[in-house]
Amino acid sequence: MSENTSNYLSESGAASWLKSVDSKRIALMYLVGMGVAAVLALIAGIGLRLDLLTNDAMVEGQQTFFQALSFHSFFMIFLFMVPAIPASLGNFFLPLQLGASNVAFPRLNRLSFYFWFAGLLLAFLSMHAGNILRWTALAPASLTEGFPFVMMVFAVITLGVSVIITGINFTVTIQLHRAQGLAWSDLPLFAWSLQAAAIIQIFATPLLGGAFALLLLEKMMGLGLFDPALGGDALLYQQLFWFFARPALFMALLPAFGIIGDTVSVMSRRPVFGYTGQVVSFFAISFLSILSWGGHLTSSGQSIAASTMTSFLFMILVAICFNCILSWLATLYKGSIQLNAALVFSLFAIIMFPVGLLAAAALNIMSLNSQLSGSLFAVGSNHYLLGAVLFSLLAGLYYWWPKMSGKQINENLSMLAGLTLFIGLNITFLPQLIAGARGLPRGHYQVIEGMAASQVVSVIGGIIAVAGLIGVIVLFIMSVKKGARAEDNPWGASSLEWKATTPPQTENFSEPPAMHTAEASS
Amino acid sequence: MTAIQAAQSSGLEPTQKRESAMFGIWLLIGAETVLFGSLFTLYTVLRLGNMNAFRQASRLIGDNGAVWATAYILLSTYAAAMVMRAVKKDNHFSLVGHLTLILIAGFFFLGNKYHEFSRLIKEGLLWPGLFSAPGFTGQGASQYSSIFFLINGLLLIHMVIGLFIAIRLTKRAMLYQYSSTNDTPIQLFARYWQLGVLVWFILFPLFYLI
Repeated sequence: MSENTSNYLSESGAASWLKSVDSKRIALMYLVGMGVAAVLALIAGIGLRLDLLTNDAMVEGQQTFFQALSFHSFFMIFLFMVPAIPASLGNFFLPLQLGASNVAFPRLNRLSFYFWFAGLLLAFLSMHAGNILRWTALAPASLTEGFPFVMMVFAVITLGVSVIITGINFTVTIQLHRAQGLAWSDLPLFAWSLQAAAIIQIFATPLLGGAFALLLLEKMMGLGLFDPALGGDALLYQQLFWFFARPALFMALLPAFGIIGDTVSVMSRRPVFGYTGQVVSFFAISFLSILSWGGHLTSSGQSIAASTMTSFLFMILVAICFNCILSWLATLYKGSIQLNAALVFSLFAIIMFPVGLLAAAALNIMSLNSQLSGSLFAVGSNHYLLGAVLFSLLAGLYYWWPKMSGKQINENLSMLAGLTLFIGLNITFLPQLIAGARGLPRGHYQVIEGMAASQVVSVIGGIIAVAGLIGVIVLFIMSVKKGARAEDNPWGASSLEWKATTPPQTENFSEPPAMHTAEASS
Repeated sequence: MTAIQAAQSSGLEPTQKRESAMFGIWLLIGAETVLFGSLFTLYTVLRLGNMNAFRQASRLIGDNGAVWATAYILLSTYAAAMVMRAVKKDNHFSLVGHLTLILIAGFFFLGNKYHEFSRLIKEGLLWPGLFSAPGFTGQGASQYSSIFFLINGLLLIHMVIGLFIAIRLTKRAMLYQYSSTNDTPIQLFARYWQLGVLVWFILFPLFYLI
């Protein structure tokens, strides 16, 4: 394709970015914003681990520890994990993959970014004022908190609205804005996974805002819903909260599944193995995750019948996730593999997902739940899953980077940085699984006798992981500054985004893209 | 092909824009349904725990006012349906007339609620923090009030937003800005309004009749 003179990056100046309704520009703003939020949260997380090393038992040390924990959990979950892949890579590539010029509601999309940014500022205010609540804000403990808590509620509601807008936007785009001739069976797995995640975004997120708003009203007016002193039931809040928070994890996981499914297929030069099965799995994961929120209430006095049911549903959910993982392996089997950063990062995710999923399954076995749910084991499980999501996000970034930036990136050094990150994350979180299974409680500000070794190993792992992550970020920056010009379709992929110019122009395609099925039949 | 090219260069086709907006409003209504649904679930849970107190409190709250409120809502839902029909048939007078009818019914509804709320405040039938109504034992009745004010309050927020939109639409309709080919805002509004109506028809028996 000819040299591209005008593309989505051509216009410069801060105003041109803030006013833009181009989903690609919004995606990049999200990517940078979420990157900053994640790095800050990471610093808080490492701070926690270092604080544990000094074994500081003073009251002031406790306060700092819980503030850092609050910061880490809130920023990582609400500002990074929940919007992560849909808001960045989804916004950028969904319209391109559908052959559309933009998302269905471009101005609403920009509004969703503004809401996210407002949520970031409110969260900062809350943390600055000394918030010590974790992201769950469980009642009745949260009801005694003051100004920081109020700010946190507003941050959560704003971020929730942003997520719902994205979900509605993506659903309408996928259902109504596909290019003519693009059949359902031509959609890449990534687009399907975004659709499945959008179901959670639209139908589970309202309860998050609702639950937090009720919490605020309970605090201000004494509604007597959650506060046992006023006749309320603290578990009621947990029911509402986990109805969102359980599927929220899968809202982050699903697009990751989509990215890996597509990447392994392109990089092994084979069609996706079990395409229909994977698509059905995505929707099954979406529905089952919404239905299995009771898994978090097993040790909080939920009835045995309800616990059995949710435990059963979650086991099916995990089995379905493994169906996807096996499909990726089957796609790779006997493929003509091109080993590059995108594939290596996908493989790391493929290794980390099963560990996290099996640990999550263990947490949902009723007899183990009461032992494990309050321990560091649950932390390890979550971080394995979120580590896998991070690897998937980076895999997607490496896969699409030539199209996004029009630049090549140093593949070998990237793989090295990825390996460092992988080793670091495993050294950090494997000891947490083990120590947790041996009884170390989560969110504890002191090192417990005989458990110090695992904490030291965790810190070392954390530092190695940060080194790897810094390497990845530096390589991306170097690519932007000095990278050689990338080809239009370096991996030989067949989905529509690769038919756009490099980098894509603002309206994505100047003429309707030709379908590969049409090419095959003609 | 040329049609698509033209559409792509000028943004989206009008029909595609319209279809997107229609589908989008249904998804929004879906999300809202989950939100209201969670409050009705909350109601069920609280009622199961306080059967007698809820029955006693609902007898105190229920009076002819609620019947009138239902009448206003019925009038507005009829008008909203007629608005959709009028704009499709390009019937200008019917459109403006029925939009005005929605406004009248809506404001009567708000007035009705104002009276009801002030009566409840006077009688002290409020949430636990401010409950002072005589003749109740335990905290059941105050929880009834909590959930009553929550669901009614959320519905009222929706109604007020709806009425603001209705005022804007009526102004524009008077200026002949809507027609059968340009009716998307009217159609979206009518659907949104009916969501509020639906909530009232679930709320009414739960709080006033049983």
